[in-house]
Amino acid sequence: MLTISLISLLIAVPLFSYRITPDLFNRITSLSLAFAGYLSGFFHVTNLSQGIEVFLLVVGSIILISWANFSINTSRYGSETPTISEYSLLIIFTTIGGSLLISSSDIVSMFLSIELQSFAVYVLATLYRNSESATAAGLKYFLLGGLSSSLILLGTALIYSNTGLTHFDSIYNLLSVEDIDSGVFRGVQLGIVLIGVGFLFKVAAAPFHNWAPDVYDGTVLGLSQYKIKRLLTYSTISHVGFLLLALSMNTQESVESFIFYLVQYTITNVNVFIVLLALGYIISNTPYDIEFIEQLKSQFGQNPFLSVSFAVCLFSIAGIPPLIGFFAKQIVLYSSMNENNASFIGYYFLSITAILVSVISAFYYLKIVQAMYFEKSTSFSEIRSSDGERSTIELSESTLYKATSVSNLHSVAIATLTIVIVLFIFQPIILLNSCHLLALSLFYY
Amino acid sequence: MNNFLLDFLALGAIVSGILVITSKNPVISVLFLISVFVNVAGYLVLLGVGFIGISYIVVYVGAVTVLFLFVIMMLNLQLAELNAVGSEYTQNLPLGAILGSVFLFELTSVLPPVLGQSFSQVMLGVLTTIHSNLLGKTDYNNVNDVHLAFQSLNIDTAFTSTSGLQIQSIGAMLYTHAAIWLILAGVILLLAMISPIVLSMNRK
Repeated sequence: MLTISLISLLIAVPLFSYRITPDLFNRITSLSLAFAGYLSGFFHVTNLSQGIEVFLLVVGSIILISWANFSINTSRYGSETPTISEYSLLIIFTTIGGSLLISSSDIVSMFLSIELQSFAVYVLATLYRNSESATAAGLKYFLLGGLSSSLILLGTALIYSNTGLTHFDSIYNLLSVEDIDSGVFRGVQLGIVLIGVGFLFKVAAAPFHNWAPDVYDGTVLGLSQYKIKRLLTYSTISHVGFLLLALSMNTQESVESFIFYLVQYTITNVNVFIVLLALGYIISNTPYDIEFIEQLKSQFGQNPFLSVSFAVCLFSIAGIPPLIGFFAKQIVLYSSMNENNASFIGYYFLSITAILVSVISAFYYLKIVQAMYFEKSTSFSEIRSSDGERSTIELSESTLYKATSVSNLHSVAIATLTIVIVLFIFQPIILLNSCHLLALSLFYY
Repeated sequence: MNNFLLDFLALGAIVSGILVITSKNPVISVLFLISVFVNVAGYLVLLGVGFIGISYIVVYVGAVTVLFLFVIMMLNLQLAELNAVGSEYTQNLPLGAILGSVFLFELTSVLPPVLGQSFSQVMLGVLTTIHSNLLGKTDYNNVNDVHLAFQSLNIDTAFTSTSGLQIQSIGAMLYTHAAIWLILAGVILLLAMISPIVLSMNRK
């Protein structure tokens, strides 16, 4: 709020100084100061929201770092640039929406920030408008996102019509004195169920996940999945299951495990995608993404470092012991088997299901690793060498690409994230303590 | 009389909403969409939320759907292709009916019975009767309460009963108490302005 008024004043003072008198400016400033104090109630900043916001912004900057600078080579491939200058603009929009959503403490601000966040993501999904899959993905994402937004809106309308309140704290206060069987309580319950369904739809949790693989595939198919982004989407769905398991308990321990799982999964997933991006730049010789697992065959011989970091990420996602992903899964399962929950048989069932599912999903990741390390690359190199003259040209071009495509920052980002994943076991205090403190601040603030 | 008109407009909105998605010709479905908005606007005006009702007509009927109509006319769609899509749609009809009735059942079993309210029921009354006959439950009239939840009776009515014009009270609310929401909505609109440019710009 203050920043907005600062910027608008900075623009207004030189431009309109002959029309607006100085004391009018003073009045405007005093008004904006008063509002900045008065309006902060709709967004509630806590230690927890601030911590997560910092993490969100850091992850956003890492994602933006890893875009290769293709400016040298773009002329050769015409208008098909891998990065579009509006990309960063949309990232800013979606980050603003995300950080507002974290700290929103009112139904209206919550809905507005969700819309801001998801609108920008719909556009991001459609950004490569020349590709058919991107357009289809964006449209599908937009329609299904609109559906989930309308469910959330229906839920908030029900809550408002039953209580006449929009502030989270006020609703909580009202419900804490209301009888459980009363009409207001049940109406709010229904509203919360609808909001929950809408949110589960948005995060692609298990019963509402069918849209997600198509969308991921366009922007950037388990056992029979041969498309790599689809496979990663299915892995996201299973990880969302873990997160929801942690979230469902609402003990201090489980909140801690939830935050830790979120942090580690974000780090690992970002790393997976930027390694995939780097491999795509190197392998496919043109700035296109990797689509099929086949394309990764025998990459260990050609790009050993990238393959090692990719394998590390996949192992971490699968939950192999020395890596960070194992500890996240362990901490979630540990908190679900806590003695406070021991009376509920359902948590044992959920934990056992989670373990079984993560064992099964490890198979998929190992398949990628197998393709990368042990299989001979077949189709792609042969096709290229079959037409003799072009292959030499393309070879020289591809060496040029290897020199320029993966930027320094990109490789630094990959290296840092991989080291975080691998070496977490030697210094777990930093992450675990901050998660612990955030969880404590939620319960004993 | 007023309640009858409200029910009539709600029924009209629902029927034309169904006709929007069932009619084969896209031009006709846009015309039904206009009818939905007119019905909803009338409903809102009768409820006493006049400004929002009229802005429905100005914004949706006046600008958005007319734009839709032009776009559809310019697209020059072939009806034969659309008919093929239509047959796929009828296959999913039973699934839609099952899901819809489950959703309705959920709504009716969770929403509270409100005591001492009786309403002239046109459409919803029929639904309640069917519900009670099929499920053997006669002790509550919950479908009515879905209707009731959106009536202005138990909603905070301070918004409409303040002295002065409605637009004044909305403005007073929007520019003081809810100014940050206005800014946020402004950012969303900025995004909505930028994104079509991003998506349709010709890069050289």
